[in-house]
Amino acid sequence: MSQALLQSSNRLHERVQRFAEAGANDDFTALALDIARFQAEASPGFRRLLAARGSRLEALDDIPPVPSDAFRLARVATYAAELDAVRFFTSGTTGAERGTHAMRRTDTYERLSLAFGRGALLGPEGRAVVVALAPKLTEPATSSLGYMMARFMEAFDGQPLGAETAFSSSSSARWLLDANGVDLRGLELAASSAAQRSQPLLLLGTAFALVRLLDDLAGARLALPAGSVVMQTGGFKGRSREVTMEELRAGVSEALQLAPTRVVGEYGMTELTSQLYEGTIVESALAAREPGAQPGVYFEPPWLRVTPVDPVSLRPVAEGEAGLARFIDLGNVDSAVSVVTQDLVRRTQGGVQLLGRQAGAPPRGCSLAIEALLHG
Amino acid sequence: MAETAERQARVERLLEAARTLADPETAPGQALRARLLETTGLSPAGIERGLAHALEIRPSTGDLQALVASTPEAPRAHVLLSSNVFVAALRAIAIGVASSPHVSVRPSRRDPALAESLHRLAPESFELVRGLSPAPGDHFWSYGADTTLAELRRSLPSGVWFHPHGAGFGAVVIDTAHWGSDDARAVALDTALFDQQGCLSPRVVCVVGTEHQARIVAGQLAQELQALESELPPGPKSAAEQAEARRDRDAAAYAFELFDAGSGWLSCSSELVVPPGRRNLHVLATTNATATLGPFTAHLTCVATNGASQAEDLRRAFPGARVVALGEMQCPPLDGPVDRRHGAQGQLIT
Repeated sequence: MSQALLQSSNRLHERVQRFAEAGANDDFTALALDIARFQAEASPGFRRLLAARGSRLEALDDIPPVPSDAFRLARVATYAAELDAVRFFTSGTTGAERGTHAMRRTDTYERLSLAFGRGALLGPEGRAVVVALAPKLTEPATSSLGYMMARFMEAFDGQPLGAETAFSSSSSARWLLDANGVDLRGLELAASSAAQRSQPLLLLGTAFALVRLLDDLAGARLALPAGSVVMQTGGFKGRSREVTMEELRAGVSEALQLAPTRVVGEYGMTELTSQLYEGTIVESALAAREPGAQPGVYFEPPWLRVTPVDPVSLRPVAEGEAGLARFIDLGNVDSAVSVVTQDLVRRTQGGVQLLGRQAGAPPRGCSLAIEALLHG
Repeated sequence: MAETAERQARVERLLEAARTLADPETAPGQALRARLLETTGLSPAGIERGLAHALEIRPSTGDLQALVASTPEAPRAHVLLSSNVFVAALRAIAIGVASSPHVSVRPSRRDPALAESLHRLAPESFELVRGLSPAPGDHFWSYGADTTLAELRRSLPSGVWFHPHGAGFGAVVIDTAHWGSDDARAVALDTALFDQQGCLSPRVVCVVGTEHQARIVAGQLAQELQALESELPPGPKSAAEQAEARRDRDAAAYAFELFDAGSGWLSCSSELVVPPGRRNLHVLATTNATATLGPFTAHLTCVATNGASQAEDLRRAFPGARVVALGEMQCPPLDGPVDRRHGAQGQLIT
């Protein structure tokens, strides 16, 4: 990456961060197009995609979305690998291989994640005891979700837990899942610490981990302090038993003695910098922005737009129709500002409904069936 | 000797029915073509070329002897067909018929056309059934996805001989020193036939030479595939197939140098990638084709090459694959199973 491109990238990062903080001092479309033009200059892959789709980058819908599969096949980055600050790996939902989303700067990711996470999960105080139903984060972090959880612990909590003398986001008291199951005693201690501090507990976990929690509780209850929140994310990826989001919400709220609306869905992808949340925490900034938000409707931050698009043409579908989720994520300055996935979504009530993955075509013939291109 | 002759005669009776079906002038042949249009997803030209080029109806005496010699005799033979390329049903049933006078065939639910048509013309050769119930000592040939075969294996009773034939793909190895003017068309035809859905269909082209030479070969292959779009049009695609094709093309365009080839494309890079089978090829330069293809040994069913010096190396490196000349990937002689990745005797279920 030339010095000039590096400077362009840095300027765009700063514009995005200012946009996220100030909200209206920049124009989403102009910023997205500027990022796309920068990526066209810095990324041969994006240049090829532009040429293949005959795009001229004159309007938001002109930005060709990079298929999430591309993260599995190639390095989706505008700069050389030696400048990577982090490399996040996908969990390999569909294929045999894992994709990578590398980042040169983590400050943009952190600012955006924290800003919208705080606004969706916490009240005006913005403080909570934060623990995760997740395995302890590896160093260096390879999971974008784990990385975000650690940042939440630092930013929303930042205080020692229980008998600890100093705060550490890598403390085993905060990562409450391992191969043996959920550390129920650790969860009780975290809840007790929150109660002592008169703060809510923010429990972060995947759907899989929350099912494991219910299994390990085996019908018992573990009451969390008033105002506590459970952030649920992700699917099951073939592990354990599967339950619907409604069943899981009901089960978790019953087990942890919370209102069902305190179990909040988060939607994120390794290929993105930004996340979406349900807006059901009444005291949160997101609920103030989206009054009456219903469970099952996920909202974007101002720096992310989700558009359902036709799976073949990639043009936006008619209002209210389902389509593939196309993300324009201003946080993806150095990777792909527009990404299309195989997840189906529908816009409703100012947000989006998640409708699961688009069904693939049944394989024909006896040729080795692979869902997409396969590396040797 | 008499038994061998009887086994060959049984196969011959089946082939006689197949010859009738391959003839477009016969009523059964016309009926089969109409049915295949509904079941295969191929264009009329694609079906015709499959019948003319890849249905093995006139094996040599030597091939027929090899087929019988390589097929174990069984008190009863069971054949479970999947939605392979449509011509594959003939070889699968022929192996069953060579094995036993008592053959049960369960056709593919999605594409039963050829099996049903053969049965109408040669009902004494085998019976069509909805379910197969092999007994100890029986031989059971099954074709399908590897996961399906693994599940099936677990469900078979002890004492059954199991012959699984899973999915695979083909590769092409190009010796640039011998790359001729007709070679690109030969590779393109092998690719376009059955819309690249067959387990013999090439998906990867290794060019033994420089990256520049690989790019030239890729360009020529793209031109030939483009030309075949009108001569051998692809079948209609469902909305889901169109969506997958779009996604794969975009991902490949981002990741690799891409050559437009009509409904499909060719990607070119220095790494080995297997593209999805919709008339798409990945071309890469290599100095050692056997090493390059090594990671996919278990999946390789057929390797075509124009290099005589390459052929022997390829045979040694990939004993489970047929090694053939360019343009001959889709018409292996009727001398046994389509690929040689599995032993002829089968696996005894214990």
